[in-house]
Amino acid sequence: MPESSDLELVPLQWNGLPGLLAPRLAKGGSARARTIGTLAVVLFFAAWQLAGSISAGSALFISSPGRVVQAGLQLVRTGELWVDFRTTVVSYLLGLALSIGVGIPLGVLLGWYRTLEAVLEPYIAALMAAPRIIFFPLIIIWLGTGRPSIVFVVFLMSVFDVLVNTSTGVRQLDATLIRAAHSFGASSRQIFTTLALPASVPYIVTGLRLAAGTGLIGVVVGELWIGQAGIGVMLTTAGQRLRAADIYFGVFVLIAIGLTVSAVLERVERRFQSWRS
Amino acid sequence: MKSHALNRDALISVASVAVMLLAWQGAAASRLVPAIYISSPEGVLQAGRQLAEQGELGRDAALSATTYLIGMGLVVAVGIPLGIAIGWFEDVRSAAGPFISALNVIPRVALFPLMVLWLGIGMRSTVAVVFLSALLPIVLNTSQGVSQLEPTLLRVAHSFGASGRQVFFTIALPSAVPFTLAGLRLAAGRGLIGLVVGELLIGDSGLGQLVASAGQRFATAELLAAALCVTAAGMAIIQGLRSLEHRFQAWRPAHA
Repeated sequence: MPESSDLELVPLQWNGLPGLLAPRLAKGGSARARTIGTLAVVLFFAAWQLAGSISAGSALFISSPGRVVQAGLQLVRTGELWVDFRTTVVSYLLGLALSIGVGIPLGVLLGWYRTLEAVLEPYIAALMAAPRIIFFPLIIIWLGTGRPSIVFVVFLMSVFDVLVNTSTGVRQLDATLIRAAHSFGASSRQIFTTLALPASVPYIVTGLRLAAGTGLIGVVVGELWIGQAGIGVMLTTAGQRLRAADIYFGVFVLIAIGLTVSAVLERVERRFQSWRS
Repeated sequence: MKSHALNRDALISVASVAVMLLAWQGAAASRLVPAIYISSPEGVLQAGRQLAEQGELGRDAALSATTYLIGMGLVVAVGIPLGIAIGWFEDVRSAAGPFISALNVIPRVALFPLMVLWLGIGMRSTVAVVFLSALLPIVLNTSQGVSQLEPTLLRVAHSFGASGRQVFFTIALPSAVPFTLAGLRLAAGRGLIGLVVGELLIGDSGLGQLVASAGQRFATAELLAAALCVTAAGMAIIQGLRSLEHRFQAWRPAHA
């Protein structure tokens, strides 16, 4: 079983982030940092607008902020965006729910029963290290080319983050606490419900935050490959029709989804941080 | 006592794999589960041997490895200098922050259609996706290593009159090494995802394409043989980088 430090090294919390795109994270930044960040973003969009209006070729391949806004308005007006957005979000949430439903109970069992951990260790280690998305074609053979396959890909990509963090949390219990509980005659069951479960909550939340990221990879790849609707499909068709503006718009929608989910989960994580034993 | 428990765990793990293989073979032989869904250990071995003999496995593995190494080479060449600049110069960090956080929250594979539009259908797009998938862990970890220096060391350096340049070369760079290596390990895993996605979606070369085309022909044994090769390669790469990381663990500043 990989140590927890493997996961906590993932530097997703980038403190002192200035700028427009991460206002929530910008609290730590100084005024100078914020100004520079904002300037960089403004300059980027200005340069993009300029580069996009040099020639017909540049307009085709790199588009421009103005065209992206137009494309976005068009997609909103025709209602296409709403259909794709809903499809993606539903598949994504179903997959994450499956990960939570399987990952947390199994993670608790793995952390609590050493023998079970030894039984499952080889598979978990292999699937953690492998690019699990390689099993996507097999999933299609099992579940067909519809939504179930996409949901399962989200599950496959994200469940290990939940599982491993949960079991790490259960395992890293404060030994003194357990000894104290034992000497006061607490049963295993009591130790489990009053010590192990609460202490593992912060780890579970960290696992969820990581799972949200890997799950989003799953839903996008799933839709890019076999989707009938969704943001991933929108990206593919836009690419086939050489509509760069639509691609950028889709990417911005994904950035919005990603920022929202990670902001919510970071807040939850901070809330439960003090529960760490 | 402790090693005794570890031995027991290892034994259980080995037994678990043996039992699983037997159950898999049993389920396939008894036709309890159609072969198209799970094939069988024997079938997978056979398919693997056949792919290896025809040279397909070697050819595709070489193509995948080339794509992956070019992508990861670019990641190292761009990511480490960028990470150092971001970690050392506060203004660079301020300017890069919004872009990094935006790139960090989207699945980089979503940029794949854009890469195809820019670079065409082929290896170049896959290299670009490997690069984009793997870049951030190295940048973020390196910058963290360069910026989070041990305060005592810094105080000592300052009181002996070290210049900013000296602090950079003798304290900041060495203490960033373990962070960069940890970043490299994370990057290696994400780069593999990028590689596989690129090959699955483009489907003109590599192990990802081998798996995808086996899937389209419902050749489950072939599919699993190739997918297990990728899994084994992934495990080997991560394990190798982990031992490299342990080797440099002592360079890490004490407080981190």
